Amino acid sequence: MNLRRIAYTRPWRTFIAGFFKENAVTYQLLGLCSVLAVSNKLENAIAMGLGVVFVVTISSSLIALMRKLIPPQYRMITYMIVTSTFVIIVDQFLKANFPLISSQLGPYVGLIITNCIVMGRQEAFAIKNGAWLSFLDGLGSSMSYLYTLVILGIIREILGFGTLLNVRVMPLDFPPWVVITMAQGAWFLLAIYYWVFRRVAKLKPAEQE
Amino acid sequence: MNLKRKLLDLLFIVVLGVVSVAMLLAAQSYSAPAVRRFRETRLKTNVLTAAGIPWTQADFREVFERQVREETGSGEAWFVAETLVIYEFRGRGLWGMIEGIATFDSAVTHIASVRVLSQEETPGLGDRIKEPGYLATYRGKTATEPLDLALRHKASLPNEVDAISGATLSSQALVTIVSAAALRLRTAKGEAQ
Repeated sequence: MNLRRIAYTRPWRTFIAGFFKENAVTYQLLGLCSVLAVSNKLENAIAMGLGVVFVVTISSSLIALMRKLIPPQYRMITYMIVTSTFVIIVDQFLKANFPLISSQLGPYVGLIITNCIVMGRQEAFAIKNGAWLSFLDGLGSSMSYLYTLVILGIIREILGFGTLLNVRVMPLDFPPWVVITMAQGAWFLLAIYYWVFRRVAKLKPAEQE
Repeated sequence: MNLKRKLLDLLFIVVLGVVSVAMLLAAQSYSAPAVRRFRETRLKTNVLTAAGIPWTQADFREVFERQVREETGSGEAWFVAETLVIYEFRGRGLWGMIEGIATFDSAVTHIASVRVLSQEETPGLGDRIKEPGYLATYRGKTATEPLDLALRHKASLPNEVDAISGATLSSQALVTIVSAAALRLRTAKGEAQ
């Protein structure tokens, strides 16, 4: 199968929809609270982003595998149990191996449980589709969250701290933009990011009802 | 819905719960030693910093061994470094536990400094209790009587500390915890002598 044919296959379209045009952050506007909170430094953004990628892909695939067993009226509680198990595992892993990043992320790792991308993909996709497609769907959506965090994290760390991955990249007399390290400053940056992203992805304005 | 269906649903939830608990226990036992090591490092380096003793990542254990003495009495333990007494505190905050260390003069009459090592207060509001700028308000306050929160004015009395606007409950929690810690330490130290 050549590359052009791959672009028309169902798995590829499933992945790329979540990854680009139907981006979890810029199109579905999900997970914004944590986007603002943890994109202040690149290392936090990477740790949090990878945590979300892990939780979304694993839990979406598992829900898809179990979808015929899950009693319909206990769907939500099943999502919660599966999601929180993996979130706690991520939290423990960070605490054991990256304690400083873990303490900087504070409560936000635990709050992946309430990140709408996780339950959104489970309810919108995994419960109706097979494990492989659900894995790709979760991967696409969560990778869009990861790269959004990373892009914002790079800009915010350079402007707000003058460093990148804690290595100084700006001259020592560069005045740090304190406002960009706070959530308020992140809103401005996020708005500009939306504008650029929607231009690049050629997204039309939402249709008015 | 018939009984069999209900029982099957119940079985599903029970199995899911058991599997999830087993995975969590495995994760916990994997991370426990590393978490313990991190807590020990955090405590020792913070005690050294609070005592004003220089340390590096490589030698803080030896420096701690050499310069800090652990004393116990009445079921409490505290550290003595030069003329300072350092005591670990732990208590309920608004959402979770607040842990930290408080440093006093040798007779435990005044607070030299307070450091918060871990907390789970509201991000952006209550979590400001961990900021050194805020904790500086505890410096030099009395340790012989309970502290009060200055709610509508700037703290000026020796037993008053500032509140954080928007986070009165978290500020109050820390004040209560530090006061209780000072009282416990004074009692234990008094009985030890």
